[in-house]
Amino acid sequence: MRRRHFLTLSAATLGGVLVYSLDRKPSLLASQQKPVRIPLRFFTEAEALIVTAAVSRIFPSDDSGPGAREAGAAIFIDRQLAGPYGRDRFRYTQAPFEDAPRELGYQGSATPRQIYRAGLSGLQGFHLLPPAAQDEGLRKIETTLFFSLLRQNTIEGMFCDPLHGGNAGMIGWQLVGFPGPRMSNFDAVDQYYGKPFRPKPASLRQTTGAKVRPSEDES
Amino acid sequence: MKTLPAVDAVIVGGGWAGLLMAKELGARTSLNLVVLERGPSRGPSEYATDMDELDYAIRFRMMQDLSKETVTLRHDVTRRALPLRQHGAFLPGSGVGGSGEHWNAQVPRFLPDCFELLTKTTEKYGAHALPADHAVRNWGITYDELEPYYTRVDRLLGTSGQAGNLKGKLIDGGNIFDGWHSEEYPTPPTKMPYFSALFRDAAKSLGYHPYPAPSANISQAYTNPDGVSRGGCTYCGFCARFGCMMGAKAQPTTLLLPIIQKRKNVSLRAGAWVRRILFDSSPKATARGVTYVDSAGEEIFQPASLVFLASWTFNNTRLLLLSGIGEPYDPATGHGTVGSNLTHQVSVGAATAFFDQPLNRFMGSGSAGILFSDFDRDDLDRSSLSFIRGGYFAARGYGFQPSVLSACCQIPSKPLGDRNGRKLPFPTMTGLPRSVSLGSIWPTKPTSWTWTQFTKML
Repeated sequence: MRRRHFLTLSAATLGGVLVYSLDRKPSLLASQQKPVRIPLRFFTEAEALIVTAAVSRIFPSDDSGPGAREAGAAIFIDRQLAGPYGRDRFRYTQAPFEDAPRELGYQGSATPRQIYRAGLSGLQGFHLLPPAAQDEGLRKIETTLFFSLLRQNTIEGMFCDPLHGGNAGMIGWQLVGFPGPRMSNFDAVDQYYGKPFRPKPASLRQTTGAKVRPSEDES
Repeated sequence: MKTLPAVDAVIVGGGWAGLLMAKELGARTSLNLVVLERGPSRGPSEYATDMDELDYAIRFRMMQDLSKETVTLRHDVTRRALPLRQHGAFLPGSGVGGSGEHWNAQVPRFLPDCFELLTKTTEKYGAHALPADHAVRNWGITYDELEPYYTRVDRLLGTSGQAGNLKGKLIDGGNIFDGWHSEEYPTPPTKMPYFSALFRDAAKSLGYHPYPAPSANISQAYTNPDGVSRGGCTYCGFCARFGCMMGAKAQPTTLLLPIIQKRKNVSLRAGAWVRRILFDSSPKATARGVTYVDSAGEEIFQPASLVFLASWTFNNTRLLLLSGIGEPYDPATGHGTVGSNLTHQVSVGAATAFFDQPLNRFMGSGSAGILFSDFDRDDLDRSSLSFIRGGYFAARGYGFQPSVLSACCQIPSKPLGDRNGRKLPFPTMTGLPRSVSLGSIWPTKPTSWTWTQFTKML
């Protein structure tokens, strides 16, 4: 039984729920007053702090909008690694493991969990570095499998449906003008030629009113 | 091994091919039929909650479970074939409806000369126009003979579009380079997403002949000849890799399953993974039935005197090879047919364009869009060129979801991690709302060295 680990996010980090107007003026809907302690499923607290710092360099926040840290990408990745994806449930994982042309995809035997664990062990103290040094550190590993997974998972955590633990407050969707799943765009599809169509975002659970079971909660 | 009561016929595979066969045979004969599908039972009622990009489009929930079963690939005979470990360019489905559940519902027709490609090509360009390693053949059936069946399929699916060649009469606005159609499409063209409309106007201004893509994701409510009614597309944009929650997209579970379920002489068994076709070779070759493993892992013998293979190219070939039926293709000698002439459709991303104005690309469908076929026609003489076939260009309003698009659009060699004009340290996403990719679709040439066979793995 592993010791329980938590990621503690300060009010400033989590930022409450940000909502963006069409001209990208952010406003804070429900600001968190107290720090939030989120139980971790896979990462240790130290690992979670490194991942949080790394995702916020891959997709930083700035005055134009929030980034992957605010979207909760680290929480998303933690849940993914704890679930079937993390142990390679979706991949063919039998031998032979051989070098192959890039087009044949990753042919190795390491699971995402193993890749992260090994990759993070090389980034100790990363979260304590200033941003420029963090970018430098990530550049050194930019061609590794670990970084390509981290980058891909950061994007997923930024833009996934909030039911997976990322895209908190649907801030990723608001950044790119994606309203989430909608039952119908029939009236709008040919009425907004060249103009932004930005209905209020809604998640899958909000849209359907249904309980949706994400893959990370399956065995 | 458990032996079940005999049936007249077994159909292996519960996708478009298998369920269509079950529907037709069930209605036209009194044969007692059973359809065996390896994947789970599923249908439109489950698709209302599938609009989740991560689990469906990135983790591939509707696809073949590669952890249990996959294929191996190699680029040429000198290399070792290696397993397809994660889904990539082609996405074989698993479950009732097969890949017909998660397809985009694009329904173009082949050009008339495709059916007699060997004859037509050699007539036009001479015997040496095709390279020595080609394996081009005639189909043994002509477009004219097949046209009534294309039309029947369009009626079954309710295809939306505008014909450009009605019995030889060319009609502006449709595909004038298409083979003849005996009647207009059952439903009018779909609505056009913004980018498709831009592309249509641009193509027209350049003198091309853009036309609305034929779409089995239909534009309005329609009742097909079997009495199956469904509503029109709402352009939610969750088509490829998803089942259609509206049932507007033609899916086997929407169009075929309800008919089959009403027939007493047809039954469907999900979770039935066929492993062998059993047969007697003497006094004359006769099918005895199939063995399959059910979802509980039990091996079962289903006797039948007719066996139909409808489980797609890879699995059909595999079952024939496993069962010792037919002669395996040997590229060294050119003998044998089982596994020969593997081809695939090539879709080429031709260009990525960035716009100042938002494109609202989340609205659309997998088949709504504009095509032009000015380079995809069988009446051009290309003898002065270094190629003989063509392809069509497409601007479809797929209805992209954010992570797929950012993953597709990222160009690692260039710092396109651009958000609101500001560079991001690492390439993560392009201007999603304002960028689009154009595609073109081309045939692949069958060759003597594109085939399927068994590979020794260990």
